[in-house]
This record gives sequence, C-alpha cells and structure tokens, in this order.
Amino acid sequence: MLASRVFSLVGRRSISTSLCLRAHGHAGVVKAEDYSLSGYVDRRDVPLPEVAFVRDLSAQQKALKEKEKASWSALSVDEKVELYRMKFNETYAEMKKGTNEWKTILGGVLFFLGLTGVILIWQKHFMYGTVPHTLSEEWVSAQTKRMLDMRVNPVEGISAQWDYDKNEWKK
Amino acid sequence: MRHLLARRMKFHLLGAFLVSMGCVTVYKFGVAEPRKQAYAQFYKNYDPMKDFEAMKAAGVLECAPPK
Repeated sequence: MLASRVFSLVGRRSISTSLCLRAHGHAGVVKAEDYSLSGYVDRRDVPLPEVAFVRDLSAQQKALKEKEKASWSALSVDEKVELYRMKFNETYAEMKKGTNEWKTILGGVLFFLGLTGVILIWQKHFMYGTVPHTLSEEWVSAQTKRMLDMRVNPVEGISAQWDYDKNEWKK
Repeated sequence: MRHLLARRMKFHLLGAFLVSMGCVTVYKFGVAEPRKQAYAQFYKNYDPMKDFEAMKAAGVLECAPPK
C-alpha cells in the first residue's frame, strides 16, 4: 500500500498496474489471484494490452458495450471517447508527455549537497584541530623556493611560471 | 510507433560517433598540440650545463654542494 502511495507521489510511471488503480481509487478491489492474471500496461511498444483498462463495468458502460456491437456510425463522438477510455488508460500523447519529476530530483540533490556543505563547515569550525606546521605560510614558501631551485616541471608546470631572470612569477 | 528502435538507434549511433570525434578533436588541438609546442619551445635553446650550475649554486644537489 505504501509502495502505491509512493507511485502517486513521484508521478506517472509508464507501467500502471492494478496496484496503482487502487492508489488512484479506481473501481475493482485487487484480490490475491489477480497477480497471476495478465495486467494492463501503458507502454509505447505495447499498442494493444492484454486486458482492457476498466475491468468492472457499470450498468451504463455495459449498455454502451452492447451498443458497440451494432454499427459504429451510430455512436456519437462522446460515446466513442468513452469506449476508448474504457479500453485504455492514457493516450499515446499522454503517455509520452514528460513529468516534472526532474525538478524534484534536482531540488533534492542540491538540498543534500547544501546540507553536506553545512556539515563540513561545522566540522571545520568546531571539530578539527590545527593543521600541521608544514602547511604554515613560511614553510610553504620555503618549499616552493626549493621546488623552483630544483627546476620541478620546467616545461609546463611550476618552474615554467617563474621568471628566473627577474626573480618573480611570470605575468 | 513504426521503426521505433531503428529510428532511435540511428539517432544515437550518429550522435555517439559525432560526440566522440568531437572530443578527440578538442583534445588534440586543446591539449596535445600545445603540449608538443611547449616542449619544442623549451628544448630549442636549452643549455643543460647552465641549468646544472644554477641548481648547484642553489644548494639542492647533495653530491655537488656549492663551493
């Protein structure tokens, strides 16, 4: 039951099983035996599903089904639409329509990224101790000087950015 | 409904080919060529002895201390 609630919360799915029918409050209670029978699906590559969408017809719908057995030109447009809706859940246009699910997902992702950022900031401020002395200003500059003296990465790297004649960083 | 897979496959095959070729061209002209130029530039007027003397004077060579 909880799973079907999640279905209706997240949005339409391409597969609409009888479990979803229950969530939307459609007619027909799902019995245990129903799971062994063919179900109705809304899929682009299944143009004629095994069963019709509406299973238990009301008296009005049964009358319409009887009328369908006669000549179809006698049916009005509304009756034809009603017969369609009895047989199928969504039209192809409705099936192919996108949902707004991506907005929910993007919002969720950004929210949790922000939350993680808050946690990290809190940790740095309240939890972690001081960094090692090798990361102090003097040590790092002495370290960089030694790297430049050794000509580390002289082609594309750090020594390529240093002007050895003027003794400063290249502009 | 007709040619559902064929249409999709054609679109994606073409797209994948173009995207991968595009990546290759961007890498070649954005990364590989400049790198080759940089190396050529560096070694055009490179004097290893001068470099060695500079490193020795700076005191970074353990076996060749500045005297």
